This record gives sequence, structure tokens and C-alpha cells, in this order.
Amino acid sequence: MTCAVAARPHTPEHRVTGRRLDIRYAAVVDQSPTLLEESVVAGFAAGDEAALKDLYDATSRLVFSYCRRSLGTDGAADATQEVYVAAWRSRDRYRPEKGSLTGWLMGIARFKVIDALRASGRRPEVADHAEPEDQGRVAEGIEATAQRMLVADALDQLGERARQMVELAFYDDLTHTEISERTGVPLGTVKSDIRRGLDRLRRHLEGFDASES
Amino acid sequence: MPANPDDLPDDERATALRLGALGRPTAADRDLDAPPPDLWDHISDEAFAPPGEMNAPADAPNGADAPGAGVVDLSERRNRRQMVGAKVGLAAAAAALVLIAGVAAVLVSRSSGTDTEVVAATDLDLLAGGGSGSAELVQTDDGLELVVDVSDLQPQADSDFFELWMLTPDASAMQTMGTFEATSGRVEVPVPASVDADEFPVVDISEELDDGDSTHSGKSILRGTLS
Repeated sequence: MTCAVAARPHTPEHRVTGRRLDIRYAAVVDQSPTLLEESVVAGFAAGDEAALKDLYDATSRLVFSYCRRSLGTDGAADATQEVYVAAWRSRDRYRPEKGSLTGWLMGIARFKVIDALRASGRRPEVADHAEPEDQGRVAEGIEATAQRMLVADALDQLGERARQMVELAFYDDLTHTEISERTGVPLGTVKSDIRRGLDRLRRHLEGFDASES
Repeated sequence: MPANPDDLPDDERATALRLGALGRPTAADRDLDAPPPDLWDHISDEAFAPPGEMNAPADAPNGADAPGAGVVDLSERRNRRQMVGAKVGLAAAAAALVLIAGVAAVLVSRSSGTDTEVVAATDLDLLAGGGSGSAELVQTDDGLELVVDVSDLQPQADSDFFELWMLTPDASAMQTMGTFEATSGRVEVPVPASVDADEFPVVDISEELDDGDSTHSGKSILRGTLS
């Protein structure tokens, strides 16, 4: 079946038409959300320019905010630009089986931040802003901040229940049984949520590790 | 270090330990802002040659106000794929922000126990392939939300995922709401404030190939009109 379809004009009131926006932006109940990579990565690897735009749309807040935090407002835009241009030019080196595209991108951002700090004569190791003391122990430094921001972003995309399960398990140190008792969520669901969430986070961190300077 | 690493298979234990070493994300880790609006233009100019190629179609008048303008046959659209992609690209960042904000609002409203009201609903009719479903438009304190339940979706041909759309009654314009892969389950998406649900009352689920073409495949599986 073929039906006639049309693009809507880009007026401020109707901004989205015919664009494939991954459901990772939406709440999906009782189903694993689709990773950004699955809809973008093929086009990205194939050199589809629209795929880079999709990737930028989905990740530029994260990348830019990391660069801004590490470099300050002045250098953040330039560093962000370098990240996406570098990613585009080295796209044939990205291997989906080795980790997520978002993680790989943040890995590149980490290198660009380090480059920018060195170019300006600053020491990357001490560049992070101080963390609030009441937030508990937080690893500092360019590398850890990039990874933790990546994790935070991924956690927020897990869906509310799975995010809660993962946080209770790994930041509040509750056992699966304790989480089940405390939240009323069946133990099997707790286990599957945590496994799925952890698998997602692992993919992102592996992507981070797989990037090259 | 988490108290329960023994609950985990070996391949997940390393991730768990790494999360513990990184520490719980702080408010600063989640303090995200959008880059300057012109940054994408700079990136595309540098990344794609020749510079400016991506900008030209977006600057061209699209004849949106002309009667009947914009209705394009699917095959023609596929041939114009790059141009369409470029045009769509300009608005994408803002649209993504709208959806992100919407999701955040939905999550907040749920956690605080906000009441919701179903303002329109429809069963989804099977057009091709297989499956069944229903859709509801739900009013929350934070805006409209489209809630779609599907069961046993079956595509007509090889496909990579499903896509949820809102269409005008004559299908002359449409709005993608997102993609998903599950054949059964519930999808809840915030309807951006910029989308008039009265203007796009038709809920459509299509099968799509991961071919880089962001337009509707023309292969609809389920469809219904909210009322």
C-alpha cells in the first residue's frame, strides 16, 4: 500500500515532520527502549549526513554541557564542534559491537577536552569544578566526569522504574531482595530491570573505552 | 562497591563496580544545556563538503501556504531524500528538546500522583500485516500524552522497526511520535505543545526499514482516528 504523504512546513508551531525520532525520548512502559544507535548507527557508518544530524540532536546537550563544564563557556562550543567533526571523519573506525555510539562520542569529547586544556596551558587533572560535599563521594577529573555524565544520561533514559532499580542497587547498595521488598516490585522484575539497565550502561562505557584520541 | 555483586553475572559485575567507583551522578552531572543554535551550521559546514550544501534546501521557500502544496508522492519523496533530510534537520534540535521536556514532565507528574483524564480514544483498525491495538489521548497537568497499546504486531514484509505517527484526516501531513521494536506492549509519548491533536487526530503505526529515510514508508499496519 502506498499513501501520499507530505512534509509540513517548518513553522515555529509545527516543527517536526517525517523525522524519525527514536523512542528513547519517550517513556516506554514494560518494554526495553530502543537505543539511539539502532536507528542512527547504520546511516552514520554509511556516511549519511542526516544521521550525523540525528546524532547531534540526540547527544549535543550532553556533549556540549560536558565541554562547558570542563572548559568554561568560551571554549565549549569550539570543543563540541571538534567532537562531531572528528566523529564524522573517523566514523569508519566506530564498531557498534564494541560499544554504544553515544559512549564513543563522549570518549572523543574527553580527548578533545584534554587537548583544549593542554593547548591553553591548564592541567586536565585539576580542571573539574568542585563537587558539592553533601553529594557523597564523587570521582573527580575529566575522565570520571565524562563517564558519570554519560551514565546519568543513560540512567535517565532507562525509564523511571528501571532507573530506580539500578540506582537502589548500585548507589544505595540494596540487594535485589531488599529492593523488591521496599518497592513492591516482584523480584523477577527487579532482576530483569537491573540486568537490562546494567547492560545498557555497560554498552555506553564500552563505547567510551573504545574511542581513540 | 555495591553490597550485592554476588547477585550479578560476571560480565555485569565489572560494570557495577565501575559505577560504584564513579559515584552517584550529581545534580551537576545532569545540568545540561543546549549548545548555541548556530553550532550545527558550523559543524555541518566543516564536516560536509562543499560548505553550505546542507543549508540551501532549508533556506528555499517551501510553498507551505499554497493550497495543495506539500502533498508529495512517496516515491518522489524517496528521490528527494537528502533534501528532505536537510530540511527536517533544521528543526530537529528544538523538537528533541520539546520531547525531552515533555518526558521529564510526564515522569514528574507520575511520581507526584497527578490525576489524568482520557480526552479521546480509538481502537486501531488492521490495515495490513497483523496485530491489534488501541490509542488514548490523555490529558495530564503537564500536557497531552498519547498512549498506545499494541498486541502481536506483524509487518507485511521485512522491516526493522515500527513507527508511531499522528496524521491529518486526509494524511496530507504527519508527525512522527517515535519508533519502537516491541510487537506487544504500551508506548506512552508526550504530545509536544506545538502539535494540535485536533489537527492530527489519526493515529498510525507503520513498519519501517532502517534505510536512513525518515519519511513514512507507506506501509501502515494499524490506524484509527481519535474521537
